[in-house]
Amino acid sequence: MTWWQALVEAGAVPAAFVPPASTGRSDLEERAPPPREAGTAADLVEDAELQAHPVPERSAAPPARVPAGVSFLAGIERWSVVAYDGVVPVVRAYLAAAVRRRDGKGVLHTTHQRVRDFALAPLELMNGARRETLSAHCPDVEPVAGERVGQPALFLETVETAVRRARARLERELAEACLETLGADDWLVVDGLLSRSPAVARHPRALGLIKSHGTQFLEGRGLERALTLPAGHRTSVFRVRGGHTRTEVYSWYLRLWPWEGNDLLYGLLRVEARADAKVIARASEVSRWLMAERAPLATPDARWDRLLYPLHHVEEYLKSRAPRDLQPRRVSRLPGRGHDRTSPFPHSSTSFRHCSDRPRRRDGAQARDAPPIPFLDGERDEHRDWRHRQG
Amino acid sequence: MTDGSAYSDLATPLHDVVGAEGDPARAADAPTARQEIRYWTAAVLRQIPEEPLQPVPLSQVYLANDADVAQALRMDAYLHSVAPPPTAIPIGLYTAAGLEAPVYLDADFLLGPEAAHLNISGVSGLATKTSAVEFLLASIFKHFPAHKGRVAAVCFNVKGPDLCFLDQPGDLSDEDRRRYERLDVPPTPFSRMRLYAPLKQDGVNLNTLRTHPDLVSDVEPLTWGLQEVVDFAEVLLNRDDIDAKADAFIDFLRDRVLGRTFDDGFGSTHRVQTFADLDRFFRSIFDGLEITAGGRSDTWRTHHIATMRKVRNRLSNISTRCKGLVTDDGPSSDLPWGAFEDRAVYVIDVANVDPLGQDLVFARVVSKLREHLERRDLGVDAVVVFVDELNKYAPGDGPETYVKKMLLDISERGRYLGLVLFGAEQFRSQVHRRVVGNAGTQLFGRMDMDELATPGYQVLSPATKIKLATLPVGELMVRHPHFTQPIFVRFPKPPVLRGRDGVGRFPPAADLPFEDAVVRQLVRLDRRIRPNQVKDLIADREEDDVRRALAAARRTRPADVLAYFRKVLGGRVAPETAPSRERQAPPVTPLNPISDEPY
Repeated sequence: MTWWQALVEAGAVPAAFVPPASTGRSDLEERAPPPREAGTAADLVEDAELQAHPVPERSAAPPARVPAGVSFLAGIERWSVVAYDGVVPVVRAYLAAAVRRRDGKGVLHTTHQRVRDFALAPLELMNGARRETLSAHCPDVEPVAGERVGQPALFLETVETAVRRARARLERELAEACLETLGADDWLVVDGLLSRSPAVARHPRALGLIKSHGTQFLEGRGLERALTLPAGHRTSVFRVRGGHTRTEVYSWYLRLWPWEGNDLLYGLLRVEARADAKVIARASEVSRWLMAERAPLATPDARWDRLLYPLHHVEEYLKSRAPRDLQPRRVSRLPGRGHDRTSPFPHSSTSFRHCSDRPRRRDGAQARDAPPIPFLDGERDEHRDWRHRQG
Repeated sequence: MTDGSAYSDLATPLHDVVGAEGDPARAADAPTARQEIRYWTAAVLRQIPEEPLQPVPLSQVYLANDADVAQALRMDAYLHSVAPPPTAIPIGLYTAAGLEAPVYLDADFLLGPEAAHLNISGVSGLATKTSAVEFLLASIFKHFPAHKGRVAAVCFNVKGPDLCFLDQPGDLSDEDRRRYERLDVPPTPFSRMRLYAPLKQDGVNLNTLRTHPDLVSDVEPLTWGLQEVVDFAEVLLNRDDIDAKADAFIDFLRDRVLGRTFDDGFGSTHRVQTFADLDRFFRSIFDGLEITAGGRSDTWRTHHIATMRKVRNRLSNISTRCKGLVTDDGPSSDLPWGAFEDRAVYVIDVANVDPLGQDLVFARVVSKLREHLERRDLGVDAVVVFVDELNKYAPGDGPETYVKKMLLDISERGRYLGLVLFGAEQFRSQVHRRVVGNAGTQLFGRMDMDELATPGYQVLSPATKIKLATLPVGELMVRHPHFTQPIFVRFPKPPVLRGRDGVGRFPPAADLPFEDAVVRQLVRLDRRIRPNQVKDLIADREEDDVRRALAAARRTRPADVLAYFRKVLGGRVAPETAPSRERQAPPVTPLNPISDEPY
């Protein structure tokens, strides 16, 4: 019996609410407060004024140097309200992160992996018996503040924030563990901020790739140049100041694909590396390597314009191992289907329903019936947060 | 495996074009290899327990060993049985991922009494069909169970030298020998092989490609006289000829005239045993009607003169068109009916015979086989009849010929007698459905895609069709009553000399002049004979007389061949079964193939 089934047995009401945003992988950065409030800002460390530097074609002599051994780190999160104790939601969350190393043949192999499957609930607001039941059956319970329980929509944001922090912690720990075993010439490419861990941020062969740009480090003409960067160009390197949760790093923007005809952030990547003068000298070389990583495309992920294929590959690997009952399903939510009180997922109360939960499309079918290439971002993706692009 | 696919996370080929920026040269530049898998679909061959029928659960996949293959293909029932003894005949090796396991056919289903018959299809020129049959015959001869009796094979060589060197060893690689050992079949040619070939027009040279001096002594002439032909007169008559009147007259000839002393009513007495006798008989009747009856009557014994002329014309034609096979006036030389040897292959070379003659040979040989098997006096209990080019002899469309009817008869009723048809063709879809459908075991070599597109192959999966279209030499797809799915097997090169190689190693000798050919045949019978003796003996003699003497010596095989030959040649050589014939007419005039008669 699962812990949520035990909870339902103890009198909780089963639920099956998987918020659309709960399965996604949006970078934490966009949730960060504006630079001034957070005390973070950028100072140019290359050029007097922010410039656009062309990145040589990958085929130009000498050819782009792609390191022989590169490890890629990415993570995923899943969460769902599985029961209600009165109006208090009890959430099940699943986090996973992995490092996959690319060998000489270009094949990725998992070297590090961490998973956390746990419960989140405002324990102080729960019924005593059910709180005890939860504690007894679930070995990993993380309490959350219960001030916003009275407003369910706002409480879900609290949950989402808690889950993301937990995931950031998991990824940070994994990155640090990976660095301990990283080969002498190997690189570590992290999906997201590098500055979250001092050890990682100071490593000479670690890069952070940020795809979402909720936080702007530049202002005025520099910002304009960065956002209108032509394809195959990078900006001057600037310093991202540290704060109470961050370590100072050097950063620059890199445009992988032409944005004209799409939007300002199309194909725009922000690269983080350690704050060191050598980074400035190597910024173009690293940019050239990252340009070479455009192939193969990370399709069908809608973020393919700025998501490197190996990172996409790590995400797909993690998704394939994630619990299927935490995936959003396009099934009816008509009333009357929650009669099975032992299951928090009414639509999965029978084995046949479980069968239907499996992905119906095979990869081959996808290949045959694939939609046109999403140059225009025609597809919405579960990982992509579109809110910052509506203004 | 019934199907296979490859999957990658490439959503559309266009994405790789974009990734390479439209430059094919950059296609291999991607630092990361795309995720890709191979996905195979396997058929359920057998379920244990068989009831209740259940879907296959998710489970581990293992490579099959010999025992697994035997169990999955239900071969264990006839491979390890105690009573009755095993009836397994190796057909080849099932190979997968470096492992190989023998695959066996059930002799009961291959050679009767169950199912029986074998059909093999495949494109021409790859030597797959003939090679497979040659190997299978070797396997049958080795593994045919003792309790089923004796077995022999009769093969019709219908093209080139295909089957002319079955007693000569071929070149086998070490890999082939290893496969022979694995299948427990001796890699040796057929020790008992008899080749029968008709003579050429000259009546002394053999009409075959196996005429090399080292081998020609093993070739037996195949010649038939009137008696052998007239029983199959239907073969000689085309659809337009067949009518009740002609049939009645042929029956009359067969019952009342042939081999009997017969008074034609015009004052002549006949004993018709050769084509020459028959011609004299017809001339006598026609003369009688013209002269004796004064031309007022056009019927003789209720048979109209036109019917008689037509039958005469057809019967006479065969001795002209198939001269060498059918003798005008001479003894027959035939297969050893009643004395077939166990594990022997009888090859009848009709490759260079007129199509009409081929039909005649086929019809008569099969009929005789059937006749003797029914009486259980052939010498063996089962006979495999191998016929190539079934497209030609039993086409799915076209007129109902006597040969087609015979093939249908074998395929539908032969298994009760032990008469088993091994048929081969290029296009299975063009062979008569009942001939193909009655074959319990079916083999497929490399197939043409057009052929695979015909309805008969709809049951095969696309992957199977693709494999069939690209099958290498030495591989076959097998369908057998015990197997629930087609199985691909690999068989070794046959242990015999291939036809083309045989012609290269033993080039056919040029046709000899009449005298030299006679010398050669007599020397073959007795190596002490000196050529000059023979040449002196036959100088200025009628060739027909020499042929008859030669045939008599060949048939009698006396201790002193030359003395016997001299003795027979010394006087008028009588036909073999007509010691006391009335010979009143002058020597027979040769039949004229182009007659003025409009029939």
